[in-house]
Amino acid sequence: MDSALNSDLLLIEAVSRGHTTAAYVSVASSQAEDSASGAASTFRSIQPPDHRSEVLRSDLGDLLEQAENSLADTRIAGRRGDHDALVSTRRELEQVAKKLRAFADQHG
Amino acid sequence: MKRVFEIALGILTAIGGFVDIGELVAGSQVGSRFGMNLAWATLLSLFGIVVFAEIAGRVAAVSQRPVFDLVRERLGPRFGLANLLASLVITLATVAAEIGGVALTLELATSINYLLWVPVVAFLVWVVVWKLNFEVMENAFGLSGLALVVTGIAVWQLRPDWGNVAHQVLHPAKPGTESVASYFYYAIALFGAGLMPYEVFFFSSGAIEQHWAKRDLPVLRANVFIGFPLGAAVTLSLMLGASLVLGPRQIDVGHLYQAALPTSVALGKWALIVVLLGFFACTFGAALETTLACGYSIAQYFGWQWGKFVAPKDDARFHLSLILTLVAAAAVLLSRADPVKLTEFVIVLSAAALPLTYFPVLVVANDPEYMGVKTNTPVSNALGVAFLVLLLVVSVAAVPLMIITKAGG
Repeated sequence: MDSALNSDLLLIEAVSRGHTTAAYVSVASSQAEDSASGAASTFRSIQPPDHRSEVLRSDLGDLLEQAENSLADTRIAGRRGDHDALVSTRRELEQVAKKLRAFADQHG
Repeated sequence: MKRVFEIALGILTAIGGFVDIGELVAGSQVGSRFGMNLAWATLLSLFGIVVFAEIAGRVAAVSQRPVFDLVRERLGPRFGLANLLASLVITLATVAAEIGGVALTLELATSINYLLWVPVVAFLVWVVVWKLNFEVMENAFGLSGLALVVTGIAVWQLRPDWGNVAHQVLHPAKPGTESVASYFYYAIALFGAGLMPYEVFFFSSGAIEQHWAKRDLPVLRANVFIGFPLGAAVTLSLMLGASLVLGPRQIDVGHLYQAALPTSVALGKWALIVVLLGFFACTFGAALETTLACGYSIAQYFGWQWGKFVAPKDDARFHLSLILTLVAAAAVLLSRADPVKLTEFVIVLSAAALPLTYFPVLVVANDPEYMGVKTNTPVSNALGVAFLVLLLVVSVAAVPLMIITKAGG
C-alpha cells in the first residue's frame, strides 16, 4: 500500500514538472490503484484470530479505505487529464501515507 | 560495411536478449530494494553469457551447424529431448512475457488496455519473422534498442554519489531490511535474467542464418565482447536509477511503468518517450528472438529444414511451429496471466534449468569431430567448467529460495 501511495506521489511530482505524457499518467495511476486494491483485498480476506486482532483489523481497514479513496481520486484526475486536480491530490496522499506509517510504527 | 552490420547481431542479442522484459523488471526491482548491492549478480551473468555465447557462436561458425542440432547428435535423442522440453517450456513462457512487455509498453504509450494489444503484437511478430530478412530485423531492433542508453544519461543527471555506488558494487552487503533468502533469491533472478536458455540457441542459429564461417570468428568475438557488456551496462543503469529514485521512497516495482519513472523524473517528457521506445524495441526484439528460438530448437531436434534464409514454402513445419508458439503465448496472456509476474517466475525457473542448456554446449565445443582444431582452449574450458559448477549451485537453490521467500516476498 505504501509503495502504491509513494508511486503516485512520485508520479505527481513528475506531472507537476511537466515530465510525463497523458497516457502514461492515466495508466500509471490506474495500476497504482490496482496494486493497492489487491493488497487491501488480501488483508481483508484474512480471518482475525481474536478480539484484539479484530479491532486492529477494523482500524487498519479504515486507513486502507482512505488510501484506496485517495488513489482513486488520483486515478480519476489522471485519466481525465486534469492536471490541476491531479496535483491537488498530493496532500491527501501524503496525509494518508503518513497515517499508515504511524500505524505501522505503533503496531510494529 | 558488412562487418559493421554483422556486429549488430551482437547488439541485437544484447539489447533484445540481455536486456529484455526480465532485465527491465528484475533490474528495477533489485535497484529499488537492494541498491547496487546485487550488481555482482548482473556482472557474473555477463561473464557467463560472454563465455558461453562465444563458445556457441564458435561451434556454429566452425561446424556450420547450430548447437542444438549437435547436442541431439552428440548426446543422443533422449538427452536432446530433455534439453528440448526444458528449454522449450521456459522459452515459450519467455515469448509470452516478452509479448506482454511489448503490450504493456504500448499501453503506457496509448492508454489502451494491454490485453487488446496482445493479439496485435503477436500478429506483428509473426509478420516480421515471416516478411523481414534476418539482417533487416537485427539492424532495425538492434539500433532502436539503443534508445535505452537514455537510462544511463538519466542516472548521470541524477548525480549519484559515485563513491557510495562504487562501495556498494565492490563491497556488496545485504540491506538490514531484507532477509538473506530474499537477497540470494533476487541474485538468482538477476542471474537467470542474464542467461536465459534461448540466448545461446538464438545466437548459434543466428550465426548459421548469417552464414558465418571460421573467417568470421573475430567478428563473432567483437559481437560478444561489445554487445553483451552494452546490455549489462543498460541493466546496471536501470538498477542504479531505481536505487536513486524508487528505493528512498520505498517503492516496490510491480509494474513496468515504475521502471520508466526514474528516467522521466530525471530528464522529462521526451526522455520518457525515448525510454518507452527503448522498452518497445528491446521487448519486441526479444519476442522475435524467443519465437525464433522456439522454432529453431523444435526444427533442429526433429531434423526439419529451418531458418529465415530458406523460403517459407521449403520450411513450412518451421514456420508452423513459429505460428503455434505465438498462438500459445498469446493464449497464456489472454488468460490474464500478469506479464510482470510471469517474467519473475520465468527468470527464476530459467536459472533452475541452466545446466541443461550450458553443459551440452561445453561437451560439443570439446569434440574435435565437430570442431577440428578449434576446440576449446584450456582457458575456455577452465572458465566454462567453473561457471557450470556455479550454474549447478544456482539451479539447486532457485526453486527452494522461490518457495521460502514466496517469490521474493
